[in-house]
Amino acid sequence: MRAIGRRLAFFVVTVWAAVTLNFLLPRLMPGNPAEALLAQYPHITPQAFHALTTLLGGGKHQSLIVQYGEYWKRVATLNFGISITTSFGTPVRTMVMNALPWTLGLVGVTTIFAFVLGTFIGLVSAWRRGTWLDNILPPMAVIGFALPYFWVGLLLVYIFSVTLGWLPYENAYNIITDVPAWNLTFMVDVLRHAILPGMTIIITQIGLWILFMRNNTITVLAEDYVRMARAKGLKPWRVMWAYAGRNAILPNLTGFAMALGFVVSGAILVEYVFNYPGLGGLLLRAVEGLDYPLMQALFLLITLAVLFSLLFCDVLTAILDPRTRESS
Amino acid sequence: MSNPDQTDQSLAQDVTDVTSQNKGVKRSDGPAERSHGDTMWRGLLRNRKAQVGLFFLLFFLVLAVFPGLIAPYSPSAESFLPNLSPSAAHWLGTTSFGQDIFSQLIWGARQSLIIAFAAGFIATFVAVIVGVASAYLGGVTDGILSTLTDILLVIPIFPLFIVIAAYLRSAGLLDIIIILGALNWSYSARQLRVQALSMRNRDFLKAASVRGERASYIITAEMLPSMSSLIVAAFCLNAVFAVLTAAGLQFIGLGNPNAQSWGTMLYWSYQQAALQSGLALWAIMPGVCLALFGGSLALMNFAFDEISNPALRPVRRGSRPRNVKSNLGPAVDREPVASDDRKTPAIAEPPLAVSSNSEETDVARQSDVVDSSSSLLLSVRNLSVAYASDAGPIVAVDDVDLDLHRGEFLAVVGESGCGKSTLMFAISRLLSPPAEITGGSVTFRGQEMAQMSDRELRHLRWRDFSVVMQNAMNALNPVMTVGQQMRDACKAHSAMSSDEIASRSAEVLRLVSIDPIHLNSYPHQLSGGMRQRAMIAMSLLFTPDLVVMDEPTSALDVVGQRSLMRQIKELQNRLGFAVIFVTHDISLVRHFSDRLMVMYAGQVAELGTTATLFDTPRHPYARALLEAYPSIRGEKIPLTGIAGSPPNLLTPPPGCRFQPRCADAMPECSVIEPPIYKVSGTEVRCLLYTNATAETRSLAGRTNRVVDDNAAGVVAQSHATSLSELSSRTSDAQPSAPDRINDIEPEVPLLEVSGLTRTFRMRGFWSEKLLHAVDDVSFTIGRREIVALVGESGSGKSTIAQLLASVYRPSSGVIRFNGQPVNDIKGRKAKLAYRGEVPMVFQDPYSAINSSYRVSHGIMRAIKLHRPDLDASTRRSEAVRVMEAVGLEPAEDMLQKYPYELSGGQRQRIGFAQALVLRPKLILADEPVSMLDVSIRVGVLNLMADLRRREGVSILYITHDLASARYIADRIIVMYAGHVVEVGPTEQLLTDPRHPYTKLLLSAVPDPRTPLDEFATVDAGEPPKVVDPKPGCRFQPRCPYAIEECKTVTPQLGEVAPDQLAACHVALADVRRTSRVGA
Repeated sequence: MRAIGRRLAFFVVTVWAAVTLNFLLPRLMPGNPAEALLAQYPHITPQAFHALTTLLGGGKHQSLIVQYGEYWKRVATLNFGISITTSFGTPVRTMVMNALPWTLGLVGVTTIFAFVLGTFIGLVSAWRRGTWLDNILPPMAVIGFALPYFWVGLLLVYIFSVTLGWLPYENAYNIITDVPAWNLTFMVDVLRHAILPGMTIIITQIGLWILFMRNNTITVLAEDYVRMARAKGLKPWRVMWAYAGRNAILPNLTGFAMALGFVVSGAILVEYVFNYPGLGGLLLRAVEGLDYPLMQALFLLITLAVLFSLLFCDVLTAILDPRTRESS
Repeated sequence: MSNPDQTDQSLAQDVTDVTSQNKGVKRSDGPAERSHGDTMWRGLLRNRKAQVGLFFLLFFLVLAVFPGLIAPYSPSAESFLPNLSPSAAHWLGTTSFGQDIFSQLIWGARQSLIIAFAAGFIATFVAVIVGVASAYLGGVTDGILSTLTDILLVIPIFPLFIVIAAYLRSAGLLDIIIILGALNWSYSARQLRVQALSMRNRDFLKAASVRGERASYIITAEMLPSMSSLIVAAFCLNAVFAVLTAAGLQFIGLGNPNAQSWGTMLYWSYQQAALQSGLALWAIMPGVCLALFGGSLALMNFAFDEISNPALRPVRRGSRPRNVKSNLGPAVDREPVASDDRKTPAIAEPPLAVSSNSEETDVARQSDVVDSSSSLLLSVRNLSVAYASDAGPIVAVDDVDLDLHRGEFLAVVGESGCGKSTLMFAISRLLSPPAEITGGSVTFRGQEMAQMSDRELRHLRWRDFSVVMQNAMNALNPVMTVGQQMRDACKAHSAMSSDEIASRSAEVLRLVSIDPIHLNSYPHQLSGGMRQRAMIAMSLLFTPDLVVMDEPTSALDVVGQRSLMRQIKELQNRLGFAVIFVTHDISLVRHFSDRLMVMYAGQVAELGTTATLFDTPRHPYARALLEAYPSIRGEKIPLTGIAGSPPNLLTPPPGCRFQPRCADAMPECSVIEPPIYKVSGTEVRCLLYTNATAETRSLAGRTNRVVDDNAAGVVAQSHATSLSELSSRTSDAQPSAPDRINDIEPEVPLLEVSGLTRTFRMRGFWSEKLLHAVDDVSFTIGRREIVALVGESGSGKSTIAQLLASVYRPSSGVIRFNGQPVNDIKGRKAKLAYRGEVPMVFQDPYSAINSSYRVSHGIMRAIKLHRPDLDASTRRSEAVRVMEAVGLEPAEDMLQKYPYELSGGQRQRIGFAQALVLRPKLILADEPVSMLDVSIRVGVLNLMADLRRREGVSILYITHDLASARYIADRIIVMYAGHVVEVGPTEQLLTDPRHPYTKLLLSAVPDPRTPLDEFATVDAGEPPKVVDPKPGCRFQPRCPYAIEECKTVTPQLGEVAPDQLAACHVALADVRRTSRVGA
């Protein structure tokens, strides 16, 4: 009970911190972004400019506190104004909502897949301690962890698209021939386009989960209850799952939650490399064009996404671990 | 890259360790690895991953420092033809701007290295400060800092960084370094905080603060050195992250486009579509460099993780072929040669008589087997187990033979490290690498177990033999209910229906007097005693023929221990299973086991019936072990313990393994490895029995015992020649029975405690509760007096010590030292002076000394703080003086050693030396012997008595062991659940205890010299946790004599006999009645 209360409090504090950070950053930076934008794009309407100043500061000089209040109002109503450079005039909310499904579909699915697969491999690797598998895997996982995400993407593009010509290397579907619709041809094309970026994410992430789970499992394997399970004459798979794995996954889940912020960073670059229409690619295009409203909304959304995943991990941990359910 | 929560887990482990330490639980029997300061660097050079990582790091370092010497061209010169393919002039070709790719790569190393080291350093620096400060300062600071850390961890740094860079509109090298360093510390800070938190419980930090060190010193000089490998690992990780992030930023064009870096190369190659236009190397090679550089840092990180957590190191397997069968012969094939390869060639063959004798013994045993084969359950022959280690195999169990009959109770006894647990795991085939059975056979009901496949073995497990482990908290799966864990076992071995399983589980729980409702409880919801009982219940699910119990009672308090022993024995009588019972406490099994096996250094020292072994122990070790226990009743005999410590099994001493510590050693003992002799039914491994009929030649001829721990070193060096010299040397050190000193000055007691209370807040979600750890406690300690504070764990006795040492402040009540209230002491100087007069000695000698420093560190710091006026040479001589006073000689040499070179007893003596150098008036000794092996406990007890006599200090001896209290204390204070329940002069209190709790405690003390007290009942009760207490006697729920008044009125201490006070309504009423009758 108390743990949940504390988690919720933390959640609220973090949302507050992220919003406040978003509010303060453009105001703390040298030069005023809103006025810089106005200078660059003189045909911005006064309304649009007002929206810009609530987001970025500048304009008529209100006190910071009033600005902060107005900023919160906009955040609460999800009104981040319109895009300036990336797609002039389109409401930021629409652009973000269009990009969100692609990111959830690509980054969300592959991250979970990499986590599940990596956890499983880590468990087996620790279980088969001292075999060839466990001798080869950890160093490979270590090096995989240190590979630059975007470069792995480039390499895959070079091998599978440029050299072998098997798979497409940009966009989420063929934007020339395909019409987005819920039919088989389109879905297959989407899948074909997702293979290379998906593989990039899996290759670069999986090492981390393998290492985490392997190290956790090794710690757990030294526990008496695992030895006890063997002494009880349980079948090896039962010992591995219900006794070793079940306990080792608990810190692994927390580790997963802790590393999510890091994982998202890589995914952003992958979307960029493959010109994928997700949030990460959008963020980078917004940055390139100095489209501040879009940028702010995206940063906030990415932070919230990580936070929600964290909350989800917490709930899962509470379900799996009776000790965290107790009130102390 | 280790998961921060993994350390969280080890923190939890630490906490359970601490609780189990209270009861003197010994850690596992396997050879332990001790860490110390410079092993980090040595370990690093031996680690293959670190070698590879270091090689590449050095390679890139050379590139970064001397790019001009190595690169053939300037990196920025656009002076060549664009888009050239690799050639002799341009090894990797040129870019589409006509630059030489190879030269650019070499120049690019510099920036990556600068970013890695600078940003990595800043981030690690911040992480160390935040992590350590929040762990050490705790409270609100910790709350704020760790929330900040967690928030920063959750906010995705890369997008944040992109956003910042976008506002800045471009990011130069310095911007990248500062922002990366300032934002990227959270992960390591969290890791370091967890590590620092677990260290905060380590006694050497408490010792430093009790000594009076400032927080800044404790953090920088005591904590950080012990965390060095973790800090370096964190640095490597931060450096990897910095390099990757910086490259990512440059890749998307947020860096300086003219910079010479791998990230910028990737940016241009991507902009120029190099992959699609045949310039693949332009895009691939910078990535390869980044991957190699990042990978080498990640490898270093991994290597440092392995160094700080030995469990992660690659598993070593023994050289023995995997197939066990090839090495094992049937028991009959036993060859005397088997032991020969262990001897050094220089040593002569044993005399003929010996070997022939050993054959006789074998024949005798063989016929034994035939005689009783019908009832023979388990037969172990020539069993050996070795742990593979860097230095070679450590033979933890060496050539052990034993037989067990149906329904028999066999106790296996020995000090820690003697191989008894390893033997149990070998018998039950539960060893895991690096431990392996290296030879011998285990025959269970006629089936050879050592040769059985895992599948065959599985069918025997739990149905036919089950296992009970030392610490049920760790042995029960924390995420499954007790019922689920029982169901698992049932399902694995039977086709029982769910209902049958449930009723059987309930039945076995009832056997151990646990309400079956607890089938739905998780292990953490049960108390320690209940968990242990639940595990025993689980082991009886199928009523197996054999239950192997590894120290099942060691984690419990004395009373719980006694009642569980009785319950085990009752169940055994009822159900008829055989028991192998491993314990370090020989007195515990006196009244319960049929036969007793004493192990020493992996070998059987003596094996015989329990009665015989206790009445006439034959092996000098068995005898010494029995004599090491202070007695709770009868005449008080000065004890000596056993000198030295068990040998290192990597290089066991030649000849008899006990010979360096043996008072009866003969010259041939250090040459001939003694075989097992059979002396009227008892098996003894000792050359005293070369001639089997020489039974009369018992140990009567023994002269003197070695007294000191460190005298053993002397013995080992010069044993053969100087035995007589030694005995003369040690005879004057022979302790007399600790003398009573009654010249307690009547006016002002040295220490006077009145109404002392300490509560701890337990925060719930809705409410706040108060735990009353110490509640209204009053007592005095006189000058030159030894007072024992006795109680079970949780009774508040250690809290009292920490209150007296000013670790905690009292919630209420007054402590007067020399008549002056301690709370009123103001100013650092006066406080320091008090700390100097009342130092503390800690329970766990392994955690009380900082392993990063030499032995002299703690002593010299104490002098520096408390006696700053001494000059260097006086300091030195003062250090030498206290070392000699605690019996650590040669003092100069001992001061130069690292803690890992010392035994537990020697470490505890250093604790006393550190206290003594302050010229104390009162030493607070918090369970100073409970973690030590029996054989050396007495040495430390004698030291305390000695210090009182020679140095005139008073000692508050905190213990759970009444017998050791009786051995040295003048008075005893008994505590229960935060209250003092009885106080009195030692002998008087122990011969005529008035409080029912004192009586219970006394009856639970195992005493090998007295018969089992048949009237003591099984008492499954446990001391309560005193949360928001109501008035009334706290012992009342367990008390057989309780009256109505006990439930409502808290009893106060009242005189029950001269100088003896008890807080018990019944006892006080008795006194009033008799005095009325007398009047």
